[in-house]
Amino acid sequence: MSAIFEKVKEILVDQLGVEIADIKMESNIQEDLGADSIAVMEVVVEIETEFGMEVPEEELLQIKTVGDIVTRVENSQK
Amino acid sequence: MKQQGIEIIGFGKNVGEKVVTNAMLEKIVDTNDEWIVQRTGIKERTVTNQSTAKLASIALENACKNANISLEKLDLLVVSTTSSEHIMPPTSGVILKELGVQKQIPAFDINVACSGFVFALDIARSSMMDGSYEYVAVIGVEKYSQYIDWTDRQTCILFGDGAGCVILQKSKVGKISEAYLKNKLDINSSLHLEATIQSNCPFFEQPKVEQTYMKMTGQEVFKFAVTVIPDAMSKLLEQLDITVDTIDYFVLHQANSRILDFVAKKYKVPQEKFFMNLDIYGNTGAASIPLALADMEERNLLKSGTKLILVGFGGGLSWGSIYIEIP
Repeated sequence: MSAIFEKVKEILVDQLGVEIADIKMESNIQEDLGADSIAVMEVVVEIETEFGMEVPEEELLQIKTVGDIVTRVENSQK
Repeated sequence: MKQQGIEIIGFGKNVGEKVVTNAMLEKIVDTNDEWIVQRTGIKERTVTNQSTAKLASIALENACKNANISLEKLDLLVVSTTSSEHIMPPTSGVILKELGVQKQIPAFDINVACSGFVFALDIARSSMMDGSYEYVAVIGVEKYSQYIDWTDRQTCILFGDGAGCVILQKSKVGKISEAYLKNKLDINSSLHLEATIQSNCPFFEQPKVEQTYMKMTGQEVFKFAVTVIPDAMSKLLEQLDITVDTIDYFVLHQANSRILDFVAKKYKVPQEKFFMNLDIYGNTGAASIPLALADMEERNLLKSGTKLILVGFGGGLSWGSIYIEIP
């Protein structure tokens, strides 16, 4: 899998305390990884800092799965 | 960055007469204490049945007693509020009437939501620089309990009523810096409150107006807050040419403990530098910073030489910071 996905997984482990093996692209950050709604935003902020990108405000509430994050990061790096 | 010799000579506070615990909220909306504390850090808050002006006037009286000056010494009153029921006279005018102040001083309200106290303090500082004002009172007061929907579990858990006041005096020894103030567009209406007005102007059709309450998108507001707080801190430090290590306390608008904890952790600032009392007052809007200052003064944390940065953030979307040195 991509280097971006690997880095995103590291950040999720650090922020949420989950096992890296439990993180899939389709994992729902709240339902599968146990984050509350604020923790999702904490993850987004850390991702933005790590990759030097910003999730547009109008898309914030659309971030549900790990894949939603990875896709946006990949698009920002193009 | 301009600095003026201004000293805070008095601190005062007043909160609602009724304490509302999380257990009490469990009885009226679908929530529980564990959920509220885990997401916000709030254990209880207060509500009032008094007018906003009455709530604030007691804080002002307390601040003047703390400063050991008569109300009649004041030269200017600035009140920051978003939730007052007083439009004309403004809250500031009603406060002076409530207290029977005889001296005819300028008094006005400003509305910059939860950033309001920082903005109001900067206006007071700037007015004093002119040389015309000796003693100035700055109040932050909110009666959110009359503007929130107590059936909405997203918002009714967050807010409380309260008032805080500082008395400023021109001085050679104290310092209050020029503030760093900002506003950006609230594209998604993340923090929204409108007055419910039933016009009977006969020249237009007037549909029946439904009562509306404060609306907030928690996730968007959280992200906004943890983005602008570091901006407010770092830009002010840069303008003052001082480092974060020289600051004894960061007194942030008391919105949510998760915001303060995240900022402290991410920017490696010791947790103990972020004073918090939102566990007992909730989010009191423009009152939260002066309430924090009053509590800090009570606990003897504002000793001579203490350096503070106040940071407000909130509806607008607005944010701002200001530096204070206690002489």
